[in-house]
Formats: sequence, C-alpha cells, structure tokens
Amino acid sequence: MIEAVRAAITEEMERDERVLVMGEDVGRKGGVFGATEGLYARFGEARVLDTPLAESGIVGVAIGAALNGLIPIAEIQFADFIHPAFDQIVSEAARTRYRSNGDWSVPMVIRAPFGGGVHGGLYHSQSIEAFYAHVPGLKVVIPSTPADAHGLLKSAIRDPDPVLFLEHKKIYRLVAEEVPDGDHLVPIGPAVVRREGTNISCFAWGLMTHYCLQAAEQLAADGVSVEVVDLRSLAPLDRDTILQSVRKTGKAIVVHEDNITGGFGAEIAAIISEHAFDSLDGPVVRVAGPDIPAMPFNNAQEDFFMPNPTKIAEAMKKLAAY
Amino acid sequence: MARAPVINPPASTLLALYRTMVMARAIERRLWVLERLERMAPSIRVTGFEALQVAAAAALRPGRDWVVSGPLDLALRLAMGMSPLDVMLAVFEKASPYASSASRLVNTPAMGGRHVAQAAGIAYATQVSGRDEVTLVCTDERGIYTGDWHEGLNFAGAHGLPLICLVEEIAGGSRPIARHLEASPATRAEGYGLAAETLDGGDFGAASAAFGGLRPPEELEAQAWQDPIDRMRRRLAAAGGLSDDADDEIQRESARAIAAAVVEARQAPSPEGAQALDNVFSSDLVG
Repeated sequence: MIEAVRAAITEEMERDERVLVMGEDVGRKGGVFGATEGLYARFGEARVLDTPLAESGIVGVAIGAALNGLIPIAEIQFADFIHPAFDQIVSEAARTRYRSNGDWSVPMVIRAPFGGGVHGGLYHSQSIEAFYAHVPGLKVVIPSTPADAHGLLKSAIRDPDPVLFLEHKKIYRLVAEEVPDGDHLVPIGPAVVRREGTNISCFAWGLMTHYCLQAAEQLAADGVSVEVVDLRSLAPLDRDTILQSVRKTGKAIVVHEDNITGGFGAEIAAIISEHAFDSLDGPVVRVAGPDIPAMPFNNAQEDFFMPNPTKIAEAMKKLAAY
Repeated sequence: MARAPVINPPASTLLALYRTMVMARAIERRLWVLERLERMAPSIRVTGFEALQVAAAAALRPGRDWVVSGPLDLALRLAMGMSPLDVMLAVFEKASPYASSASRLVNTPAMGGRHVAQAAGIAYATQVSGRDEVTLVCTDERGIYTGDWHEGLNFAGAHGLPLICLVEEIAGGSRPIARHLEASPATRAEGYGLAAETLDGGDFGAASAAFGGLRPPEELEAQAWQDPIDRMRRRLAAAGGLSDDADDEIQRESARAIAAAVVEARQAPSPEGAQALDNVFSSDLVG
C-alpha cells in the first residue's frame, strides 16, 4: 500500500504545482516508511520540506500555506505524535471555513500512519480516529487497500476542506493489489461492501477490515453468512450503507483497535440503535481494544490488546447464536 | 522589494492615519458602553496600540500584503480596510468577524501564538511562489509563552521568510515569566535568526521607522505611558497639519460614522438559527 500512497502524492504533485509535502524526515530520507521516497530529488526542497520535530508547527505552517494558495500534505510521522497539533487541527483547520462564514478555506491533508500489531509499543501503535471524527469541519479517511489509498488520497488532496488521512502501518506492506490506471479517484464518504452476507453485518476500517474478512471466512464454514462493510471514511460517515446492511441482516458487530470506551464503534452502535432498532435481532456488539492507556510492548500483552481474526470470529459466532 | 517609504510620510497620510487612530479609540469606547448597557460581547482594549498599528499598516500594501491579527488589533484592521460597519455587524452578531479574505486580513480569535505558525506558513507560500508579499502577524506579549510562537519563528528564521512578528506588550500585564528574565521578546526572536528590536509603540515616529526599515538596536528610555493619539495630534499640529477645529471635526466624524454603523448593524437581518449548519464543509464534491 505504501507504493500506492507514494504514487498518489507523486501524481498530484505532477498535476498541480501547488501541492507540496512537509513533515519530519519526508525530504532527503523519504519518510520513515518511504511514503515520500524520491520526491525530494524529483520536486526539490521547496515542495518536499523537512520540518522540525514540532507537530503543532507542522500543522500550523500547513494551515497558513493553505490560506495562501498552496495545497500542503503534512505528514505526522506516527499518529501517536499528532497530539501537540490537536489545537491547530481542531480550533483552526477544522473551524476556519465555519468561523469565516465560508470566506476562508483550508485545503490540506494531514497524513498519519496509525495502528498497532507491529510491536510499536505505547507511542507507535495508537489509533486516534475517534478524537478527530468527533470534529465537524474535518474529514477522516482510512483506506484499507492500495487502490483505495491511491484513489482516496488523490481525492483528499483535491478536497477543499482539511482531511485527516490515516494509514494503518501494518498494511503498508501486508496488502498488495493492482491500482487502477489513470486518474483514478475514490470519492470520500461512501463505504464499500467487501463481502456480502445475510446473517451478520460487520463494520470496520483499516487493518480490521482484513481481519473481519478472515473471520467471515471462518464463519462461512459454519454456515453463517457475514457481510463485511469497509467504512473507509468516518467523517463523513456513510450511514445509509450501515443501516441498509443492518436492516438486511438484523445483527451488527463493529470492530476497531481503539479503546472500546468512546471509540468510534460507539457512534455506529448508537446510529444503528436509533435508526434501525426495529430490524435488530440481537445486541450491537463491539470488538475493540481494552480500556488501558496504550498498547503494551510485551508480545503477549500486545496480542491481548489487538483484535484479531480469532477474537472477531468468536464474537461473530456468539452473536450469530443469540 | 519595493516598499512604500514611511519614515516621513506626507501630512495627508499622517492625517489619514490619525483619523484611523481616533476611530479605533471611539469604537472601543462605544463597545465598552454596548457591553455594559446591552450585554454585547465583551469589548477589548485597544487604547495605546493605535500608533503602532497604523504605523505598521502604513508600511503594508492592502490587498497584497498579509495581516494576521488578533483581538487587540482594531486600529490595524481599520487601517487595512475594515469599516466601522464591519465591526458593528460582528458585534451585533450579524456577520462573521473572521471573513476578510479579499483584503488578505486573517483575523483570528487567538490570544496566544498559534496563528504565528500559520503566518509562517503564509509567508512560506509567498516564498515558494516567488511573489512580492509580506506577512505581518500580531500577538500580545502572552503569545510568546506558547510553543506555536517559537515554532513559527523558528520556521520563519530557518527559511528566511518575509514575515514580521509584532509583539504588543500590555502595560501592567502580569508578565509571569518575563519579569524574572532579562530576555525581551526581541532577544528571543534574535535567537531564531530574526532581526528584532524593541520600540515605544505609542510613538508613531519610532514605530514608523521600525516598519519602514529596521534600525540599529538602541536602548529605549523608560517612559511614562503617553497617549499615542495625543502624541500624534501634537506631531500633526506642530507640522501645521491639524488645527483644533479640524481635530474637533475628526472626532465628530468618528462619532457620526460609529453611530450610523450601530444603527445599520442593528437593522441588518439576523441569520436564521438553522443557518448555524452552513459552511461546515464546502459544497464542492470531489471524486
């Protein structure tokens, strides 16, 4: 998937000279995951900008550059490091259009690798989507496949509003597929049904989409048909696809790595219970990380934290039997 | 870069700047009354900053140069093209105080320094595009205690950006750290490779000289606070550019303009409650 991310950035920088990337080590080094590899040599220092290790400054500078006509792609090296920039993102980037009554806009993308299961420990494993999907004015996009990463990132770069683009680092090199040729755009918002089913609806994003598909395969052997919906975008959220699926199956399960309490699964569960209550034939189930401050380094404890296909399949079986 | 000479502006320019100073002060007083009589949004203090701000504005080119201003900077915004009616429409909650892209005036609600990093980004875009623009960002002294102030100036210094950061010290402020340190904001800015100086913001001549071209550092004499409007009035009168009658008329003009703006703002239609849902996102769809 990392090649798809790099291709999207490269194509957009070629298409529009206003596009630039900035962040820690994105220049000469090409980013810690190689997402910007080769761009420094190709586009020059002014458009591939190494910044100080200061996330609030990175986002603040990107906001200003966007106000003055550029389209910055600000990379936060790990999502765990984004917290110093919370004020710039929430109080400024997401709010500028609104507070100016549509007079100003901040067209920018903030890319951040997120997620665990990579032995990253407490400060290189976090899932941060719930913090930011809560903020009107900010779009939160999470691709799970290379083709989507490519098409969604290109759409994000062309979007007139700020987009937080979260890339699960475990699938950077885990998932490979051909990316459609040409100027392939995936619109921000619509979810996609990765696997059709009739007994349970399963909602996920990022790495968890793949784990849910594996779990669904296990359930199929037991005669349980699971529909897996990859949400792809948490803000805006495709409520129609969520509700349509639940009205068909009558049972819903949401899977995410983030802590269970206040995680984005709670919002999906609330939407389902508010708008599809009459269709439910069981409780809305969440499979999520436990409520502990961070993902531990220790292998056994990291495994304990992370949802995986086995845990998800167990929850699905229990729900199917309800 | 071509800049307007401002160290000795002509009398007509001085008189226009003086009118702006008087207008800012008069608006401040009116807001003070509105706050107490009609529970309008709390007014803010602008007294004392007028000379500094109009001197800065006189060195800028409206519509080309960028201004990132904060709550203290009413005189600056007026000098850059904002009208008393714009102010009153915002006060009466009929229009956004942050909508001014046409004049490149980024008015922020920030009292701290987060907009300093943004100003550095604006200046970086200027540099990348090769345009002839300057960005002025204002913050009160409290801003220098925030990380964003330092991150912004660090970025500006590292890239040699066309950025001016104006730190406005509030007389009598608590200065929680500065009172324990010798280092002034200018000294801190110098640490990031920026040319910097400390000046008497109530003195139009000193401010004008600073914005027209940074002068060599010199020790400022400790001065009792003097009203910058009084000082500007004396300067104009001494040059024969302002009679007592003309000054009275400027005061009356300000009062009339503000009264008219208040009436028009009161009568302006109020947005519907549900319009609160507008402008969260652009209506332009992508993909």
